[in-house]
Amino acid sequence: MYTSVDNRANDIRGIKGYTAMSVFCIVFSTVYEYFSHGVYSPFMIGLCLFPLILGVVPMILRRRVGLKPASLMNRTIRMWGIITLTVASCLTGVFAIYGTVSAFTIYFWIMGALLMITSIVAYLKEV
Amino acid sequence: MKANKRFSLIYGIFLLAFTLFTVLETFVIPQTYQVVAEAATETEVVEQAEYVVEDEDETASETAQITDTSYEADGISIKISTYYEYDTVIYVADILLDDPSNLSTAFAYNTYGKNITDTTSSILETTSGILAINGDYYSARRGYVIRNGVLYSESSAESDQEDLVIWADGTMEVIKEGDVTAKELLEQGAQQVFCFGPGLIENGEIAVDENDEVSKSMSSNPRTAIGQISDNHYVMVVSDGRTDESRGLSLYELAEFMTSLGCETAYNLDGGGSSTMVFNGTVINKPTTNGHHIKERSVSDIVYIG
Repeated sequence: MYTSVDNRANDIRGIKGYTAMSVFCIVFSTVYEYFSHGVYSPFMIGLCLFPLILGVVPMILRRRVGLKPASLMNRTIRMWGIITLTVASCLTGVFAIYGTVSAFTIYFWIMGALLMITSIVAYLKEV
Repeated sequence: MKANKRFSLIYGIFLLAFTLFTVLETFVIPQTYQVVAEAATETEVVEQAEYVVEDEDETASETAQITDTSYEADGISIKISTYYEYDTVIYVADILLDDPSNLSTAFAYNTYGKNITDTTSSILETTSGILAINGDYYSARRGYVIRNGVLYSESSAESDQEDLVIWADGTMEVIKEGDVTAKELLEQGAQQVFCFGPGLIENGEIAVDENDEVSKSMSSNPRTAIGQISDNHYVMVVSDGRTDESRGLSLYELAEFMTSLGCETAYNLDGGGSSTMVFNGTVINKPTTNGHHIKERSVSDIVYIG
């Protein structure tokens, strides 16, 4: 049985994790853009926004509002949704900077979106 | 193992594998594509082939006059000049042709496909050409591809994508893919269509706007461009960049330079590390592969004279 202390610890761990992921993305995209000879991609520049907006912000807001935390499985699905969307953005950015496209990047976006939608729908059922 | 950990393990492996596959498919795995359509009928092809054989015989009997910076042979005159402008070394090949079909193109390994690449100098060796620059690196992007009268790709990149068309009479024209299909271009007599861009000069006027340029255009980089001054009079331009000796050109600077050469039409081809000019078997510029390392990069196609 989980207590409010467990929930708080889980939330702090989650916020720290997504913050670390955002910082990693900022460092990665900055270094990548630095060596890209002035060729920029919004997908690379905005890489950090996925863990930040879909991870850190909702968790902080939920705590502020006082809503019930999501189940462990739900949190896992959301985490992989955020990772998949971040990878999608990273690949799209890398290919754009190189000057190419891939027919397969769309599947990352679709999969990431499906995981996020699944997580949201499941959470609405949980609460 | 808990359900969430099982899910993480399985999905993590799947995501990693699919990411690796996507990267390899884009950058490494060679794929050969099919030809969409050819312009000439079978009879015309035979006639053309016979003409080429006769032409080769005639050429063989000619004695070409070649120096380090010039080439004179029956119907082909090339003069290589080096400029230093905008803190950049710029190589210009001034070309006069009797027959515009001497302005031709070639694929790496004579094969149309993805991730099939070779150096500009190696591709030139497989032809009878004397001078070459890198092409548009068609395999890295969507867009129309017509080479030597054969339609290889009719998938449009986007409606605003500017392509360079070289018609059968040697005239160059910059078109937008949204205005015409690749098949229509082929039917109208397009011999070459390049999909990179943008168009630098159209009707003698600079076509890139300094203020509207995106970050990519404003950056100083090695560049490759091709232009037409008048009937059967062309220039191929390659600039060095990313080095202490030569910073490179923005697209606007390149357009200004092409205007100073007297171009009526000019078009930007694949630049950066791809930018290479080869004359008589020698790479005359300093290609910067992988950043600042001076080495010739493999490309998918070339434009050559010969």
